[in-house]
Amino acid sequence: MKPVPFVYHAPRSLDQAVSLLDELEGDVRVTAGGQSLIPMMNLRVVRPDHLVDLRYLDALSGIELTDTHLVVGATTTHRTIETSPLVRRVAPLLSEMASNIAHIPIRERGTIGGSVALADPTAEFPLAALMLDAEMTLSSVRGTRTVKADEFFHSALETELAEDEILTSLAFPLEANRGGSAFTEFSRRKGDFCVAGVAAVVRLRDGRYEAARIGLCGVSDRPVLSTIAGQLAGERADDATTNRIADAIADEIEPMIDGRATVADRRDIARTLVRRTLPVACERAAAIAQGGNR
Amino acid sequence: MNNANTRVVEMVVNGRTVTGSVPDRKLLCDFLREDLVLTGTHVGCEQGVCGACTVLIDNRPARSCLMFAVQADGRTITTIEGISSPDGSLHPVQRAFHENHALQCGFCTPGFVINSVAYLEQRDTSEPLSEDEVREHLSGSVCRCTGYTNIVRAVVQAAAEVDGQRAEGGGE
Repeated sequence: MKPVPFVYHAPRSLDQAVSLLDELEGDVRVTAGGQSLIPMMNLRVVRPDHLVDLRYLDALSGIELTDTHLVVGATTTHRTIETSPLVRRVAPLLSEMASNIAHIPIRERGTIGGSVALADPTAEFPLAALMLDAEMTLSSVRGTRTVKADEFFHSALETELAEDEILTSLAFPLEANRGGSAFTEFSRRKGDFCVAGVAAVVRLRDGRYEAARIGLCGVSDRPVLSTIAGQLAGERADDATTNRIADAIADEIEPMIDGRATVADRRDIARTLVRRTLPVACERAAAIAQGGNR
Repeated sequence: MNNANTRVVEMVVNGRTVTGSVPDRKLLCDFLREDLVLTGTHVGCEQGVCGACTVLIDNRPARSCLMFAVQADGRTITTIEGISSPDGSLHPVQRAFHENHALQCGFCTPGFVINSVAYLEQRDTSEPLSEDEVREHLSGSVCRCTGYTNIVRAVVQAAAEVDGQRAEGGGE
């Protein structure tokens, strides 16, 4: 199918872009990579009156390291994040999660800001934002504000982003990236929306957890952090602990029902993914501790 | 509504500068096929899943069904028609597909070839290409005929040739 007729706008500055969002009437959509929006438009699930394309706003694209944060522009593509040596070094979880998104041609166009602003509950980057305490910068004619990831996601496809606002960048505190990390997801076919995914960031000392964070996508109407994972601090980092926490997280989550998996299936999948992910994160944390860097 | 609203676009397609007048909602794949009559770019699912419409945009693979022609204004596009040499000789990937019987009905083939060409020209060549790596990077294209085995074989064969060419050509 083809999209309904709409009017295309390609503002040359952020000021122009937010003014358009302020002034235009009807259903106004912002697009960057378009890898989720255009399929929905082609299916006529979304029928915008206006499309505001951020393609000329070069300032919204790019990756920068400050003393405290990794700052990623909203229109930076998944593929850029996946392959950036800087991201691999300071935020390896972000590049690992990027490599799990769809397929290469999609990753070449899709953007981190688009993924986070869409807030699909099965998507990788909303979970990455939550896991890594991202601070989102939102701009409108009313000004600029920063929102933390744990306040940003309201429910499936619903975020803190107001209709006249544009997500311009995400800042990831370097502190949240300390330790070993890993991400695993399960999907029916490679590159499909996942049924569930599990991310872990852990720090170890003398074979025990110093700190641990485990988050899941695909099991709720938004990405979630496991509260139980916080109890890992002080526990021995071994298979017995992994199995125990995997069972506890499978009970802790409140999976939704959809056409792709039952509640029981999702608990099973989450349990298995925790078992697969946590040891990898521990292995990487141990390697970092051995290497003595960071 | 601005049904009749059209816009002039200019882009470089297969090395040639082209202009066109397009409605805002016209997909890039439809502009290539209908306005430029470059019908080698095939349109399957129109939702980014099948990979048949993949083209190179500024040398990077992308779905031409997930982009509007107005968004391609000022960009450089390569379609399957622009992959072979000007003298008509086949690209190593095309030749390997032919030699390995990597196509049957041919509908998906342009997408597979474009995807493979882009990948072979950009990948890190310190290791020879493995079948697993091919399957990973081609996972965004769907073929309903071949069972993929011959496609994977063809890309591995082409990789040896393209790696050799890159080693000769790229002195830096």
